[in-house]
Parts: sequence; C-alpha cells; structure tokens
Amino acid sequence: MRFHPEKFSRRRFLAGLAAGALARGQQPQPAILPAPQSSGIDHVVLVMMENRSFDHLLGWLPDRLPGVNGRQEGLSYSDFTGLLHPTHHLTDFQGCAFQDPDHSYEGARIEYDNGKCDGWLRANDLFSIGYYRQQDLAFFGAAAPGWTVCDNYFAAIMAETFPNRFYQHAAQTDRIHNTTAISVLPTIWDRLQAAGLTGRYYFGDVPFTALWGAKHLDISRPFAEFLVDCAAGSLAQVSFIDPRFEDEPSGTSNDDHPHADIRNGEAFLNRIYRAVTGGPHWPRTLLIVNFDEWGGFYDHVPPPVAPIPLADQLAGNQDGRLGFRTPAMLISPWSRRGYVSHIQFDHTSVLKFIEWRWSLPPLTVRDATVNNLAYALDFSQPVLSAPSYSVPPGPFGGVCLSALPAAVESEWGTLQGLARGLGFPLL
Amino acid sequence: MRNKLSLLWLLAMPTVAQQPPIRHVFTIVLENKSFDETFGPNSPAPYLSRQLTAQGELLTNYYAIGHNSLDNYIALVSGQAPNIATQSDCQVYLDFIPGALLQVDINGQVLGQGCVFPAGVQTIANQFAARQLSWRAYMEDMSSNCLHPALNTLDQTQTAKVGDQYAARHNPFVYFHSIIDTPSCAAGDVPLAQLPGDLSQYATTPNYVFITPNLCHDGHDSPCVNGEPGGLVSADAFLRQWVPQILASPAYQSDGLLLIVFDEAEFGASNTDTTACCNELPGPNSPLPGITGPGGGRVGAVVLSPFVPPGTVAATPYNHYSLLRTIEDIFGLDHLGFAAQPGLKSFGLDVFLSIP
Repeated sequence: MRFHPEKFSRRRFLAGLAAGALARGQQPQPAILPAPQSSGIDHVVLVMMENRSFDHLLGWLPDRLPGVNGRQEGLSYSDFTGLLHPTHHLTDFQGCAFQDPDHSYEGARIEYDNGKCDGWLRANDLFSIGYYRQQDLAFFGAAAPGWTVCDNYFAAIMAETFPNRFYQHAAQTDRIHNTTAISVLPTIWDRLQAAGLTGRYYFGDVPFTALWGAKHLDISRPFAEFLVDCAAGSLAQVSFIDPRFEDEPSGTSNDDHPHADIRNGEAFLNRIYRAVTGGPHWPRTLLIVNFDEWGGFYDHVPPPVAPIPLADQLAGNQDGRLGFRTPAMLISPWSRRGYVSHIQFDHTSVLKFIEWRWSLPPLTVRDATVNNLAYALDFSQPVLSAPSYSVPPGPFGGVCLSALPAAVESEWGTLQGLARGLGFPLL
Repeated sequence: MRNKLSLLWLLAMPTVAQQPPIRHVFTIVLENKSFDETFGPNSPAPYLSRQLTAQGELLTNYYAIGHNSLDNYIALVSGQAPNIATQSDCQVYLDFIPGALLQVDINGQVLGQGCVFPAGVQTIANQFAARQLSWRAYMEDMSSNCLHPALNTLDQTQTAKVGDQYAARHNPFVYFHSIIDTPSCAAGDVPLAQLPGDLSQYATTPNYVFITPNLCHDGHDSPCVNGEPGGLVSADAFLRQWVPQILASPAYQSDGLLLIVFDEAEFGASNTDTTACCNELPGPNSPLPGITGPGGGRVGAVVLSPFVPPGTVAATPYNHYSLLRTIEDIFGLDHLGFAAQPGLKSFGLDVFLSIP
C-alpha cells in the first residue's frame, strides 16, 4: 500500500515545478514518513568516495539549482602572513603541483578556527581553496542538477578517512587517525545478519572490512561482482561500494583522493549509476553517493557537534565536532528531481535510514538521534526515468611525479596485506 | 532591543537566521534540576526523559543563565541579565532603582538594581502585542490574574501554602512595569485553569504560551506541603497531564513548537552547577550571573514540534537567551537584551528538520 495522502502529493508536485527552490507560499511541511515496509525501497546502495568538500566540488550548483548553499567565487582566505588569497578555479584534474590538503583531526581544527572556517591556508597550500566547476565534472555536472543533493550533509567526524569510514559502518569510531588495529565495533552488517537480512560490501582494491579481521569476510566481494549482482537482480538489501584506494599516493586511484584524477572518479560513479538505474531492482532502490570527508578542501559552513559515543570518547574525540560538508546525492525513483535538501545529515543518517527501513536497533547514540535520510525523499509517487550521462570512461591522468611523498593513507597498503592474509578475495 | 554593534554584525553576516513557519510557541518551565538528574539513566522523570525525547528532540547542551530562579525567568522573556535583587529571588518586590539615570548599556541592559523593571524595558509579551500577536502566561494556583505583591513589600509567595503553591518569582511577566501597568497583564497573565479552553480551538490559542506549574509540580519542592512527592516525580506527572493536551491541540498540530526547560541547575551545598555556555556575558549589575560562577548550569531542554523529527538530539550549546532569540526569529522580532548578543545562535537546522 503506497503512502499517498492527497495533500502531500499536491505539494510535492508544486515543489517539483519550482525546480528545487522553495518559493513564497511553499512552506516546509511537518515531518511525515510512510510505514517503512510501505516505503517502496527494498535496496540501499551506498558508494563512498574520498576527500572532497561540498564547496570545492559542488559549490557551482546554485547557478543550476537555486537555493543550494554553495560558494566558489568571491571568497578569500588569509595565509600565515595575513595576505588574502581568493578561491580559484582549478585548471587540472589531479593537482600534482600541490600538496594533499590536511584532513586530520588536528589540521581540521586549524581550518575550523573556532567556527570561522578560515584557516585553510594556515594548514595547506592554495590547492585547498581551489574548486571545480560544472564543466569539469562529467558525472556530477550532469547528475547533481537532476537528482536530490543534500547541502547540509557533514562528514560524521572532523577527522580523516578511517574514523569516518568506521562511522559509515558502525556509527562510531575507535580511533581518530588511520591505523590498522583490528576493530571490535558492532556494525550495520551485524545488525542485518542478526535480523536475517542480506548485506554486501564491495571493495575496489582494499577491503575496509578487513579492519574487523575475518568477521565480515563472508559479505566482502570485489566490485566486479556488484555489476553482476545488479544486472542479475540479485542485490542484497544493503550494499556498500568502495572505489580503489591503494594507488592514492601515486595519484592513480579512482576514489577522488588527491592526487587522483577526478575524471576517474566520475567514470567510476557513472558505472555504478548505469548499473543501478539499468538493473531490475531500480524501481525499489535508493542509491546514495557520498564522500568520507572534506579532504582539507575549503567549505564555508561551520560543522555542528553531536553526542560523542563511548568509543569516540576513549579514542580522543573531545568535542564531537562533525567534519566539513561533503557532497551527497540521493538517486532513486523516490528522489525529487532537481531538488536540494537542507536537512542536516551525516554518515549515520544512512544507517538511520537502513535501521528505519528494516526495523533494526541503532548502533550508538549517533544513529539513534540523527536525522533519517528518508526525510529528504518523496514517497508519494515514484519516477522511474533515469537519464543517461555522457561520461568518458578513461582511464585518465597518471603518476604524480611532482607530488610530495604521501605519509597519509599509506595505511591502505598495510591493510591490503592484512586482508590478503585473512583470505579476502583480492585480485 | 537592537544596538549599533549587533546591527553591524548582522550586516557582516551573509544570512539571517531563518525558522520554520511556526505560529504557536509553548514554553513550560520546570525548576532546579541539572541535566544528569533529569535525563540520566536513573531519572525519576521517565515521561520527560524517555517518552518525550523519543517524540521530539533533546538539547543536551542547553544551559540556564544564572542563579537563583527569578533571573532566569526574566532572561527568558526579556534578555535582561541578573542583578543582585533578582539573583536573590526578590524576597522584597523592589521597584527598580536605576543607576544615575535610566541608562541602557551596549547590550541593551538597563543599569541599576531591583525587581520590577522600568516601563522602558520590553518583554517578548510587549513585542507580540505590538505585532497584534497574542500571548498568555498560565500560572498554576494563581488565585487572580496578574497576581503580584504590592511594590516594595515583602513577597508572601516565597514558600508554598497548602491550597496555594503559586510563586510570583516564577511569573516573570509581573516583574515589568511595561506589563503590570497596563491592562494587558490582567488579560494575559492568567490561572492555568484557562489553558484547556484556550487550547480547544486554533483561533483561541495564543501565539505565545508560557506555563508555570506550582511550587510542587515544577519540581521545586520535595516533598510538597500538600503531601505530594514533589521533585522530578511530580514534575513528570504534571507533564503527563498537560503535554498531551498541548500536543493534541489544533494550534500545536498545525504549526506549534513546545519547549520544556528548567530554569536553573542545582545550586546548593552539593551538586552546584554554575557553568555557562555560548559566551554568556554578565550584565552591568552583577559580576557573576551564577552567583559563584558564570552561568546557571547545564539543564538540557526538550523540543517538540511537527517541524522537529522524533528521537533526535542536538548537542549545539544554547541558553535562555538563545531561546528568546529563537522565538523572536520565528516571529521576525527584534532581539531583546542579551538575545541580541553578536554570535548568539538561535535554533537552526540542527534542531528543525527543514527551513525555507
């Protein structure tokens, strides 16, 4: 039985006409969700990319989708000497001449500067205040103005990759840096298994789930299997997909982590998009595209704080500050088209959605108390059309000879070795 | 009251705080409990701490601004900071004694000491009336409208009596000449018994509703003079009786916001909490708003509204001045007193689900 109150859908139609901008007279409606089993969504697919902030990657979107809170031109930030530098349009897709911006727990707080969000050039070089425009992004440039974008979506923790990816799987983190100690944090995969539901984690070249040892070996598969499962109509209820991480230091990964060529990330996302929208499960699928954290790239919105789970407290997360905004897009027959949601979300909102849909208990105080991603969707009437985008497949770019040696994310190599030893199906 | 500095700050900010289309704000003020007592695992108030938080949002870093009671109530409705008299709960209902002249400082604070603020000092009630919006303060056990001591006499309502547990010091509106000197006080400051009738229809529900339980049901006394247990047990029972009526009212269901706050945290021999948040500043008339510290301690608050998703938590720091500012932002009013402090946040997308 579809959730379809008359009053509700009329407003949605009007909202659609306004192409995402809430005009005068269109007020935000009180929060109503359908019964989860009647939501029309049976498959959640999440792909989490790496290290780009909202303003940096999608700050051009207000030109195409009125009402999006994005800023590119016209901002300037001071360096150590007090000299102001303006934000600038990046002219190449890798940034090999620059340093990978600081996205650590500590560096972030220099960038955050007690809420002023102006410390970018006191932690980084000019790369961090560069941005890409619509024409640079073959996938996002076409897709973002056409689906639902969240412009108040924050990284779960103001820290680097591993802490945020722990949040993605577990709604908390037991470390605030990228380390390869085995974790015992309960995960969404545990919740799904306990309820007799199916989950799959698809990895590129390094399975993040190896950080739980062999516990999630059985649900961890190479990315190629996702494409097969999608086409065959054998998707699990929940699927997480990760890009390739291991080549980050050389700039030839496809995860968008500097100094990767971002065109490879665009191609990777388009492959997933085509697989999901072209497969038999599409009418009942929610595809979420997000980024683990802001990568040290500028964003003008000060992140809020959230309750601090016990594991975080023990790990040294002292202030519960969320990370800067990251791009997040919701692609589904149940997504409004050309729409921006200002609802405050973070990585645990995805977990909240899964738990709501399948009546699972929360993992921590974070997913228990966060806004449910479902509030950004429209459950009144599915729209099945999904445009095809012209995205060159690549591969693009090459090894960054000039890039400074990356101590950051070398943990991927260690993790890959660990995973191989545990028997993960690595190629 | 806007002042030059805050106006300059507003010009510098790229956006002004926006709020969802709320048209009815209900505030219930309870007494003297710190956050951990009320919302901790052994809370004697399960309806508030478990049920209502599951229906709405818990603000874990909501702070009171001073000690003892009265200065917090005054801050909630006027943005005026504590002075020596209001910090001691105005045992004598003293008319305000200004400094050399009736001066107002850069934060809109009136200089002087006393209880009944001069006619030039505005409250949220005055702001609503000026915009043809309605307000009512509902006082449990108050035997006649706008009941207060005669000026400069002893306040006989400091302790509860059997059959009358009304406390003037928990009725902030009678501490302002801008209200008690006008007919709006008798019309707006009424016994709690009037609330059910007012809630029954959208048109009769005031835009601004302030609810003060008696000294027993606000959690202040324990045990109560009439034998009830008091404390959080009786406060929880009060909420169980009244909150469902508010939540079922047409005004709340259409466009309502219900706020449940505590005036101050514990202040006594043990368990004293005089912490502050949000860069709280002392006013000109008392150096430490919390008497022995900068603030009134962490009390927490519960927010319920059709515009607030259930079971959520906001850890953003807020205090009584932020609450006043939020209500003023909802109705497009100027910010009074310390509600106008530069950098003070009102509730945003960390609390409300969506805002135009």
